Amino acid sequence: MEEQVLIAGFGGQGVLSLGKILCFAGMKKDYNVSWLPSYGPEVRGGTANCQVIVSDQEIASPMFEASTAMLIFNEPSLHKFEEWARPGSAILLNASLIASPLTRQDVRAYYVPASELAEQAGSLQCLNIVMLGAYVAACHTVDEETVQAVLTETFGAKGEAVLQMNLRALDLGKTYIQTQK
Amino acid sequence: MAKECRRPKALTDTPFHYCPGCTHGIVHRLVAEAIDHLGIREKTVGIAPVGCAVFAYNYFNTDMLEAAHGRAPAVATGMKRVRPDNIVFTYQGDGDLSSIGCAEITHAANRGENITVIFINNAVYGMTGGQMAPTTLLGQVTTTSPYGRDPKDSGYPLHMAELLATTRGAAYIERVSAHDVPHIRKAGQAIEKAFRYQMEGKGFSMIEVLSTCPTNWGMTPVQAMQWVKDEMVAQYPLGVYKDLGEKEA
Amino acid sequence: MAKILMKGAEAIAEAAIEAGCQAYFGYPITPQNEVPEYFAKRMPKLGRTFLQAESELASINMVYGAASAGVRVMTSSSSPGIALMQEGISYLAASRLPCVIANFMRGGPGLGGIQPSQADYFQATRGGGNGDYYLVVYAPATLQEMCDLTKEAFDVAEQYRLPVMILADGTLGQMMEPVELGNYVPRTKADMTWAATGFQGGKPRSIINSLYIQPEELEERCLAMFDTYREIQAHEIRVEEFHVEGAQLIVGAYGTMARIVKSVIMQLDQAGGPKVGLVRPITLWPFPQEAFAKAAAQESVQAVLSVEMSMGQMVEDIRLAVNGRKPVSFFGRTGGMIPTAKEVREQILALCNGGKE
Repeated sequence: MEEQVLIAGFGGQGVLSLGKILCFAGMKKDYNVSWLPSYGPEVRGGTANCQVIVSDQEIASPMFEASTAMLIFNEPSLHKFEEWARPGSAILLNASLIASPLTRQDVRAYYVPASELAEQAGSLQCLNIVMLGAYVAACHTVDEETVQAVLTETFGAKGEAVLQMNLRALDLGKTYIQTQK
Repeated sequence: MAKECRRPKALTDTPFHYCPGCTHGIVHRLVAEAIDHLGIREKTVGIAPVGCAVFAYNYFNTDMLEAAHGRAPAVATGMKRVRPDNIVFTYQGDGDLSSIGCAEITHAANRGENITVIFINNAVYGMTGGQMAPTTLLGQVTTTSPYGRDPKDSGYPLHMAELLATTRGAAYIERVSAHDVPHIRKAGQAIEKAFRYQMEGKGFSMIEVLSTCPTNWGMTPVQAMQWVKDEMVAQYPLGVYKDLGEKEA
Repeated sequence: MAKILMKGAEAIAEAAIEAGCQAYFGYPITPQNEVPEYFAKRMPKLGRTFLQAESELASINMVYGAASAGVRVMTSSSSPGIALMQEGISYLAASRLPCVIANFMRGGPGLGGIQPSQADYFQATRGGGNGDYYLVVYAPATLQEMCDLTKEAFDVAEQYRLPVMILADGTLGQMMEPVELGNYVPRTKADMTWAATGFQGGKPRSIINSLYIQPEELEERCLAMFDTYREIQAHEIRVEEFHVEGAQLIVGAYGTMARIVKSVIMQLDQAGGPKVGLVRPITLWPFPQEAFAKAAAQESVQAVLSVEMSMGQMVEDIRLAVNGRKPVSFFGRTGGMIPTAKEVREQILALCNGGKE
């Protein structure tokens, strides 16, 4: 098993931290992980993306040619990365911000109203965790309990309210995918 | 007290290579006397520059480093930060300190590095054969200002003591001269005070010493001493430019 | 100790701290700013020294000062900053001062860009500054390896009394991987009585110096350095060989580039493609000449390929090592572009098929 996840959106949407949470979850399951961010002068307000690999093998290159899963947070990222998706792989889109549908027909597309669900959970800030919930339900690389444990470690220090909001966001994302099936 | 006539312990038994009439030897002795007097020879680390004093490590009987041109204050910073109990001094000429090393000296002063800087200002590059320095006087003839230093081409004499005195980090800045006995005595007192400030943890100090270069000035030793007195002191006024003293430092 | 997920630029700093690095001097430059930032947070709490210098010139000379005192000291930068440090590095090498210098290479020349590159290979492996000297140059490929080599670098620097360079690239600085720390096993502590720390204990006067005005004396000094270099060549060469035996093509690559090549080799292997081997220098100086010579000498090998994030620098060392036994070709991209797996695969297949027919 080698999951190659591309996560892309605007800087500030939690794209890079979502990648890290995915790594932490993979590590909890004793997988090898790597996290490779785009970097440049355009971090704030520009586009941000990261490549995350979760694998039961040695990870040779931290860069991959085609993703097995893609989490796309905004329209420019969709146009930039759509062709990266491996045939048959999953693309999860933040449908709240992406108006145009996928042009690719050979992938599994999940349109998640992530911004709305995040606000429903309590704040637009947990947009990335909604997407993570959707990913967990769609791809099963890491299970929900493991991700919950990571969220508890990540947000625990920020207080119970923040943690609960993120757990709600995770659940809303997951439930959305499950009810769409 | 009986007068002693002997070599300070902080100088080695190596004859100086300096030219007749050059004041480097005098200033070396003043530094060594201060080190002896304060009893710090065994914990002193000196840093030699690039310039005529490049061989200073042969003369000072302390641990010595030889630094790259202009970088002595950075080297001193590295040494002092990891060995705060050592007494660290740099000995730099005007090309080294005021030209190529202007950034290093300014930031060391501004950080208030607890080091002592001995700055030899003789208005010329000595070792390389008498080229113009930032401290060269207006109209002064050097091998690279053969028609006399013209401010339209080469700007004005740089006043390092005044400049560094504007940094908040500096504790003690004084300009002295080595052109006659009374002034040499005063210079010795200033140098010792600068070392004492370091021992007391007061921070950065620099003593600028107006010095001679008879060889490159084309003068006899006596003429050179007179030239410092008449021309250099007029351009570079002597005195204390900053002294945080006992209380403020 | 459990593995922790760390960014490369932070992992190298933590590894240095574990190895007893007492002082770090640096100046901001992308893509390695997390190194000074991490030291800035950690060092004061450990009672050690962090100082942001006014320039890279000052950083490397502060390193010179601290190294003269015999403490473990480090600086880091990225290509243009390392270029500025070359004067100081030459002085450190000539004065036989141990220290560790990390270069997270970015695209050049000039101000260049900030994306990953390997274009400082010549500079790093040929000394870099004026005069006859070398550095030991490590080229880590993973963050774990970068941590382990950094710790070892301090030992090697002290053992042989020279500056050691960790030659990484922007990717290794910016990416995250789990690393295991706390496992440092130091080498035998080197003699440090040469350090300039004053006369305490009646030790002889220390002079740290690189000026030798008599050519006979300077030559003698250089020859002694080269005795050390030969010793290093005999004992410190490190190389990874992957699928080399019986390979049709040998690829040489280091650092991040070697990871991409390895991925391609694994893919080709799974797909039943041509048999390709990787020789990955871990020390770029001393260069693993023998490994390349032996790999290329195999009857099965038809060609050797150097793949770089530069315009063909390591390929020269590979050519010297292979010494005409097999054709050596080059593929690389530059300016911050990284050869993709697809491009590397195409190069490999072209060479393999060309070899067959």
